[in-house]
Amino acid sequence: MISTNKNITKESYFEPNQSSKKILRKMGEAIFNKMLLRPVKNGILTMTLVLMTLLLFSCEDVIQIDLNSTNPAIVLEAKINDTSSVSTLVITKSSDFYKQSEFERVSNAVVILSNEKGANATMIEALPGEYRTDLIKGTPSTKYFIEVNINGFIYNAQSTMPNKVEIDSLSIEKGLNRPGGENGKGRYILHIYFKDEPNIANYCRFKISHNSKAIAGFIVYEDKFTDGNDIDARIQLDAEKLNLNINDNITVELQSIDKAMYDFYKTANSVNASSSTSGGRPSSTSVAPTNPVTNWSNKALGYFSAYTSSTKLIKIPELKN
Amino acid sequence: MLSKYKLLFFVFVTIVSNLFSQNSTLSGYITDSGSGEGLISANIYVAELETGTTSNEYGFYSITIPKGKYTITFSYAGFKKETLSIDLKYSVNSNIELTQNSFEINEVVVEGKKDDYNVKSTEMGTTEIVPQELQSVPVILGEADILKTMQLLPGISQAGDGNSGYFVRGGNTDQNLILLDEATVYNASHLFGFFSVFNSDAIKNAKMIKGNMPAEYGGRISSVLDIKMKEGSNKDWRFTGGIGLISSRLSIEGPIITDKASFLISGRRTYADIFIPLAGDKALTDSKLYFYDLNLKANYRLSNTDKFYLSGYFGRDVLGFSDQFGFDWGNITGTLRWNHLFGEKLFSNTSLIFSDYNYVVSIMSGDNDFQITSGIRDVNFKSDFQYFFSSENLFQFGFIGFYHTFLPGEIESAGGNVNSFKVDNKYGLELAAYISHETNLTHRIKLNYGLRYSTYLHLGPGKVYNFNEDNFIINTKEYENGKIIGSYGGFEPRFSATFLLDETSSIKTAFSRNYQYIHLLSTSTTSTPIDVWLPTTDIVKPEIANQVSLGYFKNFNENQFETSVEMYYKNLENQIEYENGADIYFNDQIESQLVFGKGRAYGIELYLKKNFGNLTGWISYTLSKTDREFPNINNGKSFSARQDRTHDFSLTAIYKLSKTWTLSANWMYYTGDAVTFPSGKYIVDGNVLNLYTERNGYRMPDYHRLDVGATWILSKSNTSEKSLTFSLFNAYNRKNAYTITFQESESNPLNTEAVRLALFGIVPSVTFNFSF
Repeated sequence: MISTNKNITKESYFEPNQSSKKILRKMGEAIFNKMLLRPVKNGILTMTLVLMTLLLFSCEDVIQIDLNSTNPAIVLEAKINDTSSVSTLVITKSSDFYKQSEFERVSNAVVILSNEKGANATMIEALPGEYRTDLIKGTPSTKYFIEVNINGFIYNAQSTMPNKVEIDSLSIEKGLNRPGGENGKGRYILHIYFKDEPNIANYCRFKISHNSKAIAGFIVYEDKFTDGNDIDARIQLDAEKLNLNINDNITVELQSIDKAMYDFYKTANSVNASSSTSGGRPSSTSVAPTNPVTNWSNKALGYFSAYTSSTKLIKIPELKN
Repeated sequence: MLSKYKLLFFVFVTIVSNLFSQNSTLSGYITDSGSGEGLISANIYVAELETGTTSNEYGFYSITIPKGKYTITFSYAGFKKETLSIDLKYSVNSNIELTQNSFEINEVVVEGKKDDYNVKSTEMGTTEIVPQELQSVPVILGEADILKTMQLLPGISQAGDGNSGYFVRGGNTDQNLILLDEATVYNASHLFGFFSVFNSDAIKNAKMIKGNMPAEYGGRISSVLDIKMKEGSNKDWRFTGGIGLISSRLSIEGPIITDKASFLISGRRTYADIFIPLAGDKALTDSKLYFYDLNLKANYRLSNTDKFYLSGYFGRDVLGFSDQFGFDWGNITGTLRWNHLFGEKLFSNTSLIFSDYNYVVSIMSGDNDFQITSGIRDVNFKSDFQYFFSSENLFQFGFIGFYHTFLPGEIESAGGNVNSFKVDNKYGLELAAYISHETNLTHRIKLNYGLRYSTYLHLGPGKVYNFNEDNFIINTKEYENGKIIGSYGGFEPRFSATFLLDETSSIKTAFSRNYQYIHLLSTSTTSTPIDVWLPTTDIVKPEIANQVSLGYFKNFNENQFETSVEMYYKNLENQIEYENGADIYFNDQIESQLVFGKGRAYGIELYLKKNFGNLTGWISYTLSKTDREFPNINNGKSFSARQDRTHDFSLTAIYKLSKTWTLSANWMYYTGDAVTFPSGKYIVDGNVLNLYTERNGYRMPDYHRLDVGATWILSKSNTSEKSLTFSLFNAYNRKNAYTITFQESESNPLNTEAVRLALFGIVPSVTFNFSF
């Protein structure tokens, strides 16, 4: 089950004045893509909205809401994987909602990366706020620890790199319910084929890039209902919104992650302002959106992920309807 | 604690023995002469004694008074009074038929109750609605809707724009008990809440009790909505129906055996999907998008002492797209009832009830076919007794038992990517017994006090998990079929008192304690078909509410105006929320995903109602505060509940312009609900995430809306009526926010902005209604 983040499909479910035909089609796709898939509530919300659109009475507009200012919070984003020789940590600060999305970096932190086998290394500030080391290698089935000291405040996290999961192959086909000329280029379905390891809980994240530019959103997978199977993960790409063209490169990185990282991505999806077109977006119908579940101590935001990485590239083929 | 209840029993016994004397009883059924339907809460008044009583929910009355000559008046609003002169020497059985006022009378029938019932009864926070009231209130898409009309009353607030879900006095939506002919309705809405499952053509009467419920009700801690279906005319055949923009309905009722047995069938279906084939796309031709309801009822009067009723409801929403997926959900209820009279004073009703809610999702995508099902099912047995001891004393007692089966979720796969999977069913037995006594202590003081004891047994087969702080299972214990895994229980005292200040005003006070053993948690502000009902287990404790209320009631101008002021305070224990990031679907250890806390709610409700005249209607205003406190939420600090709404005002007016035209309008205004908005943002892996600093620290924008309607009676006679109802929902096209989304601007990704989604603009509709 794939939690597709709606930025990928980039559908707009509630533009007024769409024909009922198109709306039903969209509803179909919404349920097709999301129903089993989590978070199901988004599917339901989407359907509600689709139904209302069907009645052609809804509308969307930008409004001004008075929001409080906050003290900048520390955001720690640390990664170690099995294919890159360099592990990184980026430290930033949060900003107010109505400021531009440019985030202050935090320098002069003392950062130590270690593993369960006793190796440890200090990460060096290579760029402002960006700390690196190549002294500790990422190895599957190993637990890693990181400690960050910012002006005497200590933040800790740990993450276990799971067994490696390789992508077998990729393919692209036209979306089943392509709305013809109405929506320009229509929709593609990206298939990611891989084998789920039986008898253990597997968690994955798919990071998808279009011509080397990452597409926003966190698409995650768990094998709760698919343990040990040959998996065909289907992800919808809205060719119009993403401006996909024939022969463009689509790169898929399959990250095998631990449960804590899965929980982070899953909960981050519902508060993701970047993947905002529809669906899994941060909306006020959710009972109470909260900051994602993080594996950092001391109330730091962000994550520390030890993951394996398997990357494959596919060129968008010429497709018939 | 126990000695208190012994004392209570002692009080019962002394009152019973003191009141024994040489009396006779007048009893019988009060019915509508036109249809034979029993009249609920009809008024019986003995002029010589200045005393009286009212008929019960089956139309039965019984009054025990000293032997003598009396003039007894039977009345029911909208009906002609009947007077009986009787020399009561021994007990008499007298069935009374009342005749509806003929249609020429230029008066809007608003209520069926005794005119000053609101002042004199011991009921607090209670409102009755009869369908005639519904017809004239404007509603969205012309569908008269009992739940939406209820939301116009003080203390009851709508759970979202145009939604039939409601909050009562700061409670959650799952804390409302909804009964249809005594059967629990688990999901009272169609199409994600925009319509309720109650077809107003099939409804006879609905009673809403906001918390201070008498002892015969229990199982939910916020409110009871007790809906009675019509019985069907046992005199002649009748057809009632309506043709609207999105749905049509038809009811047929008639005698099976004249004056002895009758039936009612009432159906409703939406037909937006009928237009799908017009789109001319083959894939769409197979699409489905509709709901339907079917209400059935039959009754048989075996003798004057025995009457049987069989009633059922069946409704379903169906969504489907081509051959690729299907999604449908709905309720089924069935009630078999037996009314029996033991002599002329003891009325009993025994019911066997079935109730089911489930949803099914089917995914058909070639190699990946699978089906998801989930639901809840009850078998329920209850017996209630009403002992009409004297005109001043009514005793009620009874018991109820539920066998609950919870089906948290099952995936059946036909192969492919997805494996079959089943979360174990859970089983529970919920039992309760009660006794209550209503009495006039003096001419001015009336009391209703009672005690209910309820218990919940968690039954096997089942597994019990112990979790550590990180939600990992420490150990698992397995129980066999029928074994009691755990149990909870408690006493639920109920008390209410009315002090008549004079003939037109009173002060009332009430206390109640309620237990709730099954819980519905939702991740969204509006109820969805896939919300999961959770039983009480070793980890999930029963929810408990204590409520006190105090009110002043005053009627003016011969009961033309009713006014009331009510204040309430309640505390809630063992409240439940999902923890952050909870994994709620298909989780057999769902208890590990929950956090527990407490809550409180208090407020003041003002109500003014005009009962008759050309202009009728009501104004309601509620000032309230509701908060919750959970050790694991908001750093343990108390926060406003999502449904906390400081000011809530509504005005409903119905104006009879002429014999053929009636105009109506309602306007509601409320300050925004508590909501969690981001106070900042940060970046992770190239994605901008919203930053939240406190739970429900912001408010949605204020909500207001005007609806207007008009009913045009095309033709009317004693037996038939044709009319057109026009309505304009949200007449001045207010953009009320359904959701507010905090997202990157599409035009400038460096900026983030708040986007409001307003679901309903101005929505016109027209419905053709008929009856003959």
